[in-house]
Amino acid sequence: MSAAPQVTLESSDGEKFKVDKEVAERSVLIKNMIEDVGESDNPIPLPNVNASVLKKVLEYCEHHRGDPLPAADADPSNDDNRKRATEISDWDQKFIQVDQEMLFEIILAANYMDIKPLLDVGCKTVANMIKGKTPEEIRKLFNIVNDFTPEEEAQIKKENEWAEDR
Amino acid sequence: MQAEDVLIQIFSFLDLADLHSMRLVSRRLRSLVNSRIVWLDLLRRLELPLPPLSCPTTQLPQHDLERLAVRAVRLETNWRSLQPKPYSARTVPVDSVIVAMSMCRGTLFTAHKDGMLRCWHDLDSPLSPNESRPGGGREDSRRFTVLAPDSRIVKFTQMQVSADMTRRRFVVMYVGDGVDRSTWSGVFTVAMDPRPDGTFAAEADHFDQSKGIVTVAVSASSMIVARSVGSLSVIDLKTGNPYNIDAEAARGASGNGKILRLCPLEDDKLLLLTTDAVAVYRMPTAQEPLVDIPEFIRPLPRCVAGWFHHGPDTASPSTSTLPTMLTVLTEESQTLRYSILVTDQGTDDGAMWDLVEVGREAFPYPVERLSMTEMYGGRRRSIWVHWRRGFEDWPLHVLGTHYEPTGVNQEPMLSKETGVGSIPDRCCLGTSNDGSAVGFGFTPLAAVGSTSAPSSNSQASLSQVLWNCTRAVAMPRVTFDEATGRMCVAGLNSQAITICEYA
Repeated sequence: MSAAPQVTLESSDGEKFKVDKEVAERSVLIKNMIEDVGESDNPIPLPNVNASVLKKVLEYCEHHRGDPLPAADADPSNDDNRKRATEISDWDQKFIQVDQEMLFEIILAANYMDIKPLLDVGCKTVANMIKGKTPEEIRKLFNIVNDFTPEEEAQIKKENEWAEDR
Repeated sequence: MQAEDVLIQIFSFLDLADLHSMRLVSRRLRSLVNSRIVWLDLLRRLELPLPPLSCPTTQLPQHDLERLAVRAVRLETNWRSLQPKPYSARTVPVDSVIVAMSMCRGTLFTAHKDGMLRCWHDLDSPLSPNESRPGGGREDSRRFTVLAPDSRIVKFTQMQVSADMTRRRFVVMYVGDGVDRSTWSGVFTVAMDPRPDGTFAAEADHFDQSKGIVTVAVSASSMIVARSVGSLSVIDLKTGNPYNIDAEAARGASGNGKILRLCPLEDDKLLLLTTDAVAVYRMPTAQEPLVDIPEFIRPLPRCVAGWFHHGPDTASPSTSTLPTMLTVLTEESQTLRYSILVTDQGTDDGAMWDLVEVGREAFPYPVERLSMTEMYGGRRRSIWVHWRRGFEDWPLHVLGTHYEPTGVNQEPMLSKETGVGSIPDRCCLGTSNDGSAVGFGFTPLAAVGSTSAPSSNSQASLSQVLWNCTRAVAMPRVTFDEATGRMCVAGLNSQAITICEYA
C-alpha cells in the first residue's frame, strides 16, 4: 500500500509542517494552489499564519479530514449552520477553548486559508461570548475603547429605542 | 478589510438585540452593524413573515431592512406571547353585513350578505363605503374593488382566498345562495399590484359561475377545482387551457369518498383529502390522469372536515407557502375526533406521515357545521363546532386549540376546551360598532361582552370582561394576516370592521 501523498506548508515564521494532502486540502486556498501550481516538493508558503496558529489549524483539519466538504457555491440560505447559531460539537468546543488572542488568530487564519467550517466554529464562539451582554460588558470583554462622544451615544440609544419599545 | 469580513461573519450569528448592543460599543462596530449585508442576512435567518414590499429586499437600503427585521421580531414576540396584545385598534363602518372575511398579504376580502364581494386594498386609508355601488357590477378603485359575481346570488356563504405569488394575484373562491335557492360557486382573481392608474385588475378567471365548487387550489403551474359531483378541473396557468377529469376518474383515484380539500405540493404533486382518505397524486395533466403514489395514502374513515396549514411567507424563498400540517376531523356516533396529520411533502418517504389524535368530544346534538380559526398567523388554531339545540343555533363550542410546534421535533400542543359559556382567561380583542367590546380568547374562542364601552386607549386590554354574549357579537368573523400583523374582526350582525394592529 502506497503512502498517502503529502505536502509541506511553511508558516510566516519559517516553520515547516509536512501533512497529508487530504488534510491540507481542507483549506480551499491550499487546494486551489495545488491545483494551479501542480504537485511539487516546494513548501507552500502561508505568510499570514504563524507556526503556533498553523499547528492549531492543522489539528482541526486532521480531526475533520473525513468530513464532507462544503460546496463552493452553496446557497447561503440553505446553510443550516446559519440557523443553529449556538451549536458547536463537543470536540470543536474543546478545540476552541483557547485564549482570546489565539481565538482571533484562528479565525483570521481560517478566513485567510478559506476553511469555512473552522471559520464558523470561531465566529460562533465569539458570537456566544457576545450574546446577552450590554455594550459596556462587550467593551470590557474585548478590551474595546468607547470612542463615542456622550452625544453620539445618546443618539444611538435613541435610534435603538424605537425598536425595543413601543 | 479582512478583519471586517470576519466581524460581519460573527454578526451573522447574532440576533437583533445583540446587533443593537454591538452598535453601541464603538464607532467602528457601529459602522459595520449599519452595513446592508448584516440586515439582509438577519432577515434571511429570521425566516419571519414580511409585509408586502414594492421591491425585493435585496434592493432596500439598510434602514428599511432594519425596520423590517425589527417589525418581524416584534410581531413574532407578540404573537408567541401568552397574551398577545394589539398596539392599536380602530373600528370602521361598512355599508352591509359581512358574512365571511379573509385577509391575505395586506389585502382584506369581505363577502357581504347583499351578494357582493369586496377587496380592500388599502386598510390604512379611511374605508369609504359610500363609494361602492352595490349591485352595480364590477368597480375598480385605488382602495377597494367590488366584485359582483352574478345578480342571481343573494347571499354569500363561503369565501376562500389564496395568494398566487407566481402570477402575483389573489384567487378568491366563493360559494353563494342563489335566488332560486340553488348554490352557486365561482372564482375571481384580483391583481396584487396596482395598474399605472392605481386601480387593480380583477376578473372572473377561467370560470363562469358554476354549481357545486367544493374547493379550489392554486399551484405554481395549475389551478385545480374540485366539484361536489366529484369531477376535477385543472387549468394550466401558463396557457390558460382547462381540462377536466370526470367524476368517475376522480372518484376512481380518490376512493369512494367525496373530495373535501385539495392542496398542490412540491414536485407537481397534488394532495387530496376525501371523506375516506388522504392521498397524494401526481399532478394530473391532459396526457396523464390522476396517478396515485401508494405510500402516500392514509385511510380516514368518516372524515368530515380538514384544513391544511401553510408555512409562513418569508423573505427566504426556500420556505414557500406549502403546507406542513393537515388537521382532520372524523365523526362517528356524534363523536368528533380531532387529529393532526404531520406531513413532510418534500420527500417520497411515506414514513414521514404521522397521524396524531389530539382531541375527542361527544356531542348531544347534531353537529351543524365545522370550521377552523387560525389566529396569530396560524400559530394557534381552534376548531369551532357549531351545533344546534332546539330552535337556537349555538355556535359556541370549541373542540380544541392547538399550538404550532416551534421546532421540527416538537409535538403540536393541544389545549383542551372548557366548552360553552366559559369565560376566557386570556383574550385578545375586537370591538363592535355599538360600543360593546368583543373579546376573542384563544382558549376558548368565544365572544364576550363588556359592560362599558372601551375608549380608544383601552382597546388593547379586556381584563374586565363579563360573559354577556347576548347580541351583536355572537360569532365574530375574524381574520389574521401575518404579513401585516393585523387582525380584523366583524360581528355577525354588525356593519363594522375592527382592525387591530399587532406589529
